[in-house]
Amino acid sequence: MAANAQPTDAQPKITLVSSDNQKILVDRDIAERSVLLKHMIQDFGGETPDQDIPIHNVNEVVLKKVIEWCEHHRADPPATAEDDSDNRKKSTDIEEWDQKFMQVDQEMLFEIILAANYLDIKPLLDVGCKTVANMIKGKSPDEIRKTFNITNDFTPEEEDQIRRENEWAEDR
Amino acid sequence: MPNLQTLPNELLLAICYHLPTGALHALSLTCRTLTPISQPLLYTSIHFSNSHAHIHSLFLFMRTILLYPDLASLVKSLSLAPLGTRWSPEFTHHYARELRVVRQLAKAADIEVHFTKCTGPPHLLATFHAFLFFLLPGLKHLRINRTSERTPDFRGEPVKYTPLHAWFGRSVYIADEEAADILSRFGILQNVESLYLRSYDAQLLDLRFPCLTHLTLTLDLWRESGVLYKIPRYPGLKRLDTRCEARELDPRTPELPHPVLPLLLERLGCKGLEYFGFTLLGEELAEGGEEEWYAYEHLVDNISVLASCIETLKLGFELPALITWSRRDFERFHPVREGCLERFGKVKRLVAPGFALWSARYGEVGYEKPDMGHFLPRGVEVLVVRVPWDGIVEWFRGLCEVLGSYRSLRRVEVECRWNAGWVVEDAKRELRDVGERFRARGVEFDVYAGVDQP
Repeated sequence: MAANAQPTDAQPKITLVSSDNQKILVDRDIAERSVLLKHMIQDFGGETPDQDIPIHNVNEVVLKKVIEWCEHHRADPPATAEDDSDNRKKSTDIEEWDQKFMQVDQEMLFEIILAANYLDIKPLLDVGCKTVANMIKGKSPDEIRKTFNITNDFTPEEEDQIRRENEWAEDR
Repeated sequence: MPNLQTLPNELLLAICYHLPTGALHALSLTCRTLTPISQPLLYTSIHFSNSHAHIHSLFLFMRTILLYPDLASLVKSLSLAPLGTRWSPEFTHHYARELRVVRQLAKAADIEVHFTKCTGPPHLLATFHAFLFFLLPGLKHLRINRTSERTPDFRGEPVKYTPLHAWFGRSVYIADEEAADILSRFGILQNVESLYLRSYDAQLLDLRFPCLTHLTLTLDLWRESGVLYKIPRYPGLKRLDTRCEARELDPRTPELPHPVLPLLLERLGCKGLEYFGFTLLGEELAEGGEEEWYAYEHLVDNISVLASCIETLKLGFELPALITWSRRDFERFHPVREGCLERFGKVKRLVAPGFALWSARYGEVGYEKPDMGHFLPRGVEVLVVRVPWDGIVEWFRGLCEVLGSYRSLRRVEVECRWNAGWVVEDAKRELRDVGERFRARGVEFDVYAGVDQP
């Protein structure tokens, strides 16, 4: 659903300030991909705010990465009620551009997920979660531990217990 | 530095929502932080097919829920499949262990179980199904998929397999009158709100689910009225979906059985029904000759009686989507449909997915434009149309021109099907002109994005 970038000259601009005090100028419609920012702008009476908006929880590198995603997806239709449902969604299909966008190191991947959650950008959060899910799928517990650098803190008895409880779910 | 273990629980859950059963299982075995997130999800919604692997899984699952009631209480949705015809006496040695499990279950549930010579895998599985209902107190959604095929029993003799037949009659000897008492003693099934059944399993309704509000029933229009005569009343039903099959019809049947749908409504006695869905399945019928015609005449007969029920119940009604009917037979169906519509004079709210054949395709197959003045039931006040299809705009223009024929019409709703790729913004733009015409004649016209039907 990604659309081509449109001319940006006529767009009202907003200045975001990252947690490391860097100013980033973005088009208002791009900023409004974030539900958090959209509500903040509405609090200004719907006018484009002329003062800087601080983004306390996101540093410059991550914020720029998030803005890059928002720019590419600026013309996507808003999420539907269906997207908001809590039903388990087994599909982990990710469109090609988003797949390439998410080809980053793990630290950045989790930073993007946290930023998308903080800024309330559900489609980006979804892409991030699907990317992590794809890294988990098809792996054994050991392989998952290696992938995410997790220490096995179970006692052998605990591990056996869980394995026995969930044995029915193996190889499915 | 953030990593998987330091993510807040809500984000871990969001990731887990995208994982299949096997991956959730693997994740729950990685570390203490992730187990309490992934394991409960593993139990929320469970499906067992009738493959050998899944049958084995089902046995293991039974063991778990028997030993760990806390995990059992997490199960909210369960989908089961019947045992197919793959079993044969050679598999006997495979289920000696399962027989032991059944005995354990029976002991735990304080139910006397007798095994006879003909106790075979189908009966075992049936017994397992029955016990599942006992052991899952949090179950809200139960779906039992069933095939109509006859399953050979242990000795290779055909038995008509249904879980409750087996439970009440064959493998486990519990008399019908005792069953209700046992079920109430266990206080199970109290929370089941939604059931999906084939009519072969309609006997399950005998269990009298007190919270049942949504029933989906797949049935054969011409063959199963006998089963339905035994269905108990469910006055609290709010939503009834019927999937009607028209397969395997024998045109030589001398007498028409009692129409199934009206019988179903009558038996259920659900006065508070808010939705009645009727979907016609039966692709095989589309390409034949006289036999199908016979079938469709019977369909009209069913619908005719159904319509009188609906008049009484003052329900909305979803017309059958006739999209599987072949082009060749189009001309013959037209009077059938008109015959149906005449009988729906008192329907107030009409959801109409079936107009496509009359609108977009008439050009394609070379038929004349339908007479729009005789297209809808006369009394319709609210018309819900699901789009898109080619020619929808022209169809609405045609309808607008004959609004004088439908003086009762107060509101038109256009539900845009998301999966068909016509986003609501496009629909609104293309239908702006049409909407204004309707509004100028005093009919509300609303375009909105619909949640696609399953």
